[in-house]
Amino acid sequence: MSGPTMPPARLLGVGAFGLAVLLSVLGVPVTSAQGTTIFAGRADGTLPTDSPFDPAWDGLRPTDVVLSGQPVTPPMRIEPAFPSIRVRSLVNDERIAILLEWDDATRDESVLAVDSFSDAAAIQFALGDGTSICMGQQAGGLNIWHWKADWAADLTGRRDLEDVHPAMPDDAHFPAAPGAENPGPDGFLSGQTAGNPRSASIRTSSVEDLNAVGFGTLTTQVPEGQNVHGASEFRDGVWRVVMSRPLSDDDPNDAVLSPANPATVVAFAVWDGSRGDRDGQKSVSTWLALSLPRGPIGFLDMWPFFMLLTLALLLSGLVLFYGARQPAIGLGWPNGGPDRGGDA
Amino acid sequence: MHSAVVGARAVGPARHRASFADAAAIDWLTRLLLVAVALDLIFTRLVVRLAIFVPKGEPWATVSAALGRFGAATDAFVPLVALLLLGALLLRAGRAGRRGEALTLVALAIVAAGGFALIHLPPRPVVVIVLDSLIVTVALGSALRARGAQGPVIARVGLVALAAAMTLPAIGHTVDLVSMLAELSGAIALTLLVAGQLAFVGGAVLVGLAGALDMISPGRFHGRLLVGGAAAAGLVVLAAVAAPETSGAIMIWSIGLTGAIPVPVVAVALGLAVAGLPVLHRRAPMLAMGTSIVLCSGYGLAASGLVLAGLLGLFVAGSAEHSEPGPAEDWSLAP
Repeated sequence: MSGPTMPPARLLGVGAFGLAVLLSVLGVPVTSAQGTTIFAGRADGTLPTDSPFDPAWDGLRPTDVVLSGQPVTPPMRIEPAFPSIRVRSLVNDERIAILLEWDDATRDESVLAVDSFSDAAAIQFALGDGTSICMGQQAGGLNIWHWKADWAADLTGRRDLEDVHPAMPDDAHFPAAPGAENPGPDGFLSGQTAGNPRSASIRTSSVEDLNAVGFGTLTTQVPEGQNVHGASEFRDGVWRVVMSRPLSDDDPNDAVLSPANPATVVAFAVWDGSRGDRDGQKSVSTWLALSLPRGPIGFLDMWPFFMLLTLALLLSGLVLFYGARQPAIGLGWPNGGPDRGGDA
Repeated sequence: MHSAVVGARAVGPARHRASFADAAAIDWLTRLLLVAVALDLIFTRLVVRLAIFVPKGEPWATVSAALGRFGAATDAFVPLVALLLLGALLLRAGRAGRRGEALTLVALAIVAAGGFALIHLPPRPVVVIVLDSLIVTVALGSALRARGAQGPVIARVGLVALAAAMTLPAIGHTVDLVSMLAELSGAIALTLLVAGQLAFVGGAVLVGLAGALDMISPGRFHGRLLVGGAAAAGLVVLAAVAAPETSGAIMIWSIGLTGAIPVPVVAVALGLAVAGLPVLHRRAPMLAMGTSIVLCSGYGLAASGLVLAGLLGLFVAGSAEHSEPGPAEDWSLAP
């Protein structure tokens, strides 16, 4: 005499839970994101990395990315300073360039006064699965490209307090030795001496390459790791900022940007200096996908998708065929009752 | 001698063999999918994301990590259960010879396959357009089935509204991608995204109201459900008043509403759904469970597992079938 058996559906349900636990422990993803995707265009020649208003950019259709405030951690911005930004991307065999464009009534490029703040923009890339959009988390960090309008303005020559207050006494530069006439090294400029990139006397790029694994962990990469190039232009109330980087990059702190990879997970942020934006006070997007082209898209490029499509059709057909050959036991009352051909 | 009761009729003597696709199995798998998306909503999309605001020192860091692990498991559980339910529904459609249902389910199977494919494949515009078009097809097919669904008219109208909520963002996305490929200007996705939120909240109000109206019939007072609904609505309002920024962020992350609909309206919709859906379940179980799955799946969320669950919820909600109470399934014990 056999005992009660578990119905097959329940057995499969229990099995599904076990499989879900196993897959999550092994880190095997079973869901994909089907949100907004930015499709990068392909350029055969040189990318317009130094020309934000190059006609090549205008040939690409931008993706409108909605921004919201940053209401999670202080300093917050409740309402976004800008409703949206327009994003375009171009790649060639060597580099990727991303163009951010937004309307801004004011051009804010100085941080030399206590109450002045600079316009800025950032792109953050997820370095793993399951990271948080809020500056990442320990389980999954972020790579952030942060363009700053004040750094861009400093590229031609760093401005300092003397430029804002020409008559100010120069109390930072002491003579190298007692009695010497010329000022010595900037020994009292502790930021520069410590290697703080914000205090650097010479700017090599308007973009800072950073990493974060949660609130309060934002860390600039070492000088050798700073490989993001920036170019920007403000024209008729519109900022256009191009950030670019070589595609191949073995730095584990940098986002893997390869056409061979599935879509890269990205998010954007913009700061409006004239409204006091700095630090966490910014307008932010949600996660989006950035898809790089592998070359001209041909029919055969999508073979895995078509294979799955065929498999789904075949399996569905098989199940329907198998179902049609089964006795109609337990069908309940379809459409109107048993007289309509429901139960056997 | 005894007989097994399946559906409303006794089927022969004694030896009823449980099937993967009989009414009870589909009912059970639908319940399981509802549990899976509810767990995903509560843990993966609510508690784990709330943990962002919690200090990261011990013991919170350990608790947060454990919740994150559980959230990852529930996130994987949803598409797996959805696949099981899809398989059972396909088998059943084959048995019953319902071609319209079968075509809708095959389209749903392709959406599921596409969701899995996009884990490892870069999304191509054409592929995304095909998948979005199929989402629209399945949602519209389910909306059409609402005519024959069990349950009060108001609930069926709510089902159509929820189908519209799944359709509108997909249409906007598709049109924008087609415009991109055709190098045309203009974008409508954002407009339709907001309209979809209105349809989503409106659908919740209607299906909840359908149950709530039953509640006020003489002799059918459900004090606990009313208290539960009022508590849920009150919690939303309280959170919005006490911490508008945090609750706004959580609302986006958990249910997908971006603030286009005023908080009091969302609170009323949630309260009605919490109080009304269990009552609606007694009259129209599949409609109640299906719409609950759609609501728990959220609005316009990007995860392929939730898209699949939401579409399946729409499909089963429009089902004309029902299982009668039998030895194994007593509907009076339903929540």
